[in-house]
Amino acid sequence: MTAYKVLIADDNSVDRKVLSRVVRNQGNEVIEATNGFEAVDIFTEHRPDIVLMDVMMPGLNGKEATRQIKSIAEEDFVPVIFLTSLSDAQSLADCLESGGDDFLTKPYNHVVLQAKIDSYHRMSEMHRTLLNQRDEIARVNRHMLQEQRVAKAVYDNVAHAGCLTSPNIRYELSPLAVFNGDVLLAARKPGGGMHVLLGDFTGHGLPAAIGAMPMADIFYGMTAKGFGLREVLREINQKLKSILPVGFFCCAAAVDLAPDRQAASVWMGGVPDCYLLRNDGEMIETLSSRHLPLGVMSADKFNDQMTEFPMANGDRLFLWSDGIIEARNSDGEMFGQERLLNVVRDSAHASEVYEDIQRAVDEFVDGSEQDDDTTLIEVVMDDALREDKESAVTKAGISQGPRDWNMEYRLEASTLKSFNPVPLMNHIMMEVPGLRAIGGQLYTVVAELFSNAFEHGVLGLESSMKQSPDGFVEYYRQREKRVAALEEGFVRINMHHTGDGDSGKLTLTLEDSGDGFDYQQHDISIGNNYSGRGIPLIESICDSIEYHGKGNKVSVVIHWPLELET
Amino acid sequence: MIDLDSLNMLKDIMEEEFQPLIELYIRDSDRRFPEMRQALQEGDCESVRMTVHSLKGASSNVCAVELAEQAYSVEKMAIAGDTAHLRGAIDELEQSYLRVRQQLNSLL
Repeated sequence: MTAYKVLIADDNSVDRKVLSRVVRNQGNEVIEATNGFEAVDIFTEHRPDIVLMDVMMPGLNGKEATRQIKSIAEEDFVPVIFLTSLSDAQSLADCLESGGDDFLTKPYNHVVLQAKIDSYHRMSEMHRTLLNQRDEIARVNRHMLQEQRVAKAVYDNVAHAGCLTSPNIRYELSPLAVFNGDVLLAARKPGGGMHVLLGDFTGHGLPAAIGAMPMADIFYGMTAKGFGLREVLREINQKLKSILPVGFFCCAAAVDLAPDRQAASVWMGGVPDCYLLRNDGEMIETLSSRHLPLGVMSADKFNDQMTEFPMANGDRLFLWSDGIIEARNSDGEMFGQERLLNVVRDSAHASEVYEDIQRAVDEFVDGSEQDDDTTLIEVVMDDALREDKESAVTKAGISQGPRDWNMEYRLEASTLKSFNPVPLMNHIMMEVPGLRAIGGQLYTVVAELFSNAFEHGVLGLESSMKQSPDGFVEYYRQREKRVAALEEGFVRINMHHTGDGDSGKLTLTLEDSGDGFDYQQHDISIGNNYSGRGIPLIESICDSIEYHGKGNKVSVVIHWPLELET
Repeated sequence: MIDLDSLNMLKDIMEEEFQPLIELYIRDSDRRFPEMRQALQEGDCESVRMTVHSLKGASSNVCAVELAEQAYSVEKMAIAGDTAHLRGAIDELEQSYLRVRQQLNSLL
């Protein structure tokens, strides 16, 4: 049995001696005090585990001594058991009222005495464990908040370049929203207009925040370099897909606001319906998610198709994460899409919708804690955004980079066996700011032309094989075999660009060591699906496609800026 | 006057401390009667009450059950401030105590 340190305070020496002996006989260590003052002093010095306290003592009585001991003990639990010969209910209740934990009536029952000492000792230990765990939790929590502050500072540095303060934007986002998984990004495009992205990562805390860093980095970096929003989304998707664990992704709404053509292109994946409100009309247009969230699909399956909406000056787009719809009132009821739609519908004017939504949500949650989870943004079409086109910084940005240049790259057989030159080609083309906006499409064009030159030209594979599923398999079996056996051959790539900084012309020429084909016998004009995959895309951005010589050399010409796709 | 069975149990519990305990009881109690009378003379009933309360507890510990009961009735008198009867009650209590003391001494 563990020896407990027991303080016995009793002015009656006979009583004290008897009790002391009993408690010692039970294996405990006893310290005696002959009055209340002594009890307090001894307690301070020896810190006993439990106190047996006579109620009636001259000088400082038991109740007052107990109050002092409890205050000295602070948050430590020191059980005080009153010793009393009083037996009426009120006197016993008074004992507990004055801060005692229990009482023991004289004459003492030894079994009950020991049982109480043991029981209170267990409670003390439980209390100690509780305090330790509380302190541990507090420590961990402090540590976590500290980490979040650091992470937030880093995140703010990454995301600082945003233009959320533009006059055409109003938004609501809690300061630590990134740890709720909500992200709001906005950046001016070098050519005027802006990109806006609202993201809602799955989960909470650091796991939800971690993906926001590369997302903001890519968004701001690529937008500043003039990449189109489709390329930006494609890159973000690929990055998130590769870094986030399975089951983690980012619901997002992305807007390419183009005041020069008075339109907005919108991409939405996994976010609730958003609304477009006309400045001069009552009609509410609903924008719905048509894609899976970012970070779900692999790069080759990702769909970057955007939906275009004409937007006149003063027309407004409202985007939000599911935080608003899932905001709960004190009854646990959700705000819901219907209530939101009603607020929008009941607003006197489009310009008042933003405040009306804020007010309605505030009133609905009415102090019930989690209204800091709501992320909301209003984006207004504004002609003034066009002015950025004339700004010195942007002018310099768009004019920089190579204008007139030519590059030739010849790959021999041993290189072709294992090296794919397409990323490098793409990288070189992306040095031209005007080509960045169509980076994704260019990549596909170069990839298609190179694969034609290598597979049909150098390896001599028939494209017609790929037209049936069996042939498709056979085609790749043959390809593998011929690559392994390849000893001679080459692909020569030539890129030629001319331009004035505002527009340009890129000519891509690929020549291979193969036998070519009788292109004059084939209808190779644009619009004819002569070799399978990738061609609709080539058609959509190439102005011409031309074969030379025996058919082992092809040139395509691309002018930028592109005619708008719809 | 003394519950001898209980006193033997106390002897078992206290072992070598038994004799000093009884001596302590007698020393303490001897002193309490002049204290009570002094307090009573000063009209300090609360002090009388404290002293007789202690005597009651100590007596019950040394198994002088009847003496403890008698002390309890004096304690109630002191609480009530019944000074008229207290003097006589204290005298009677002392007589009982002296008999208990004699018996205890004979047992040592």
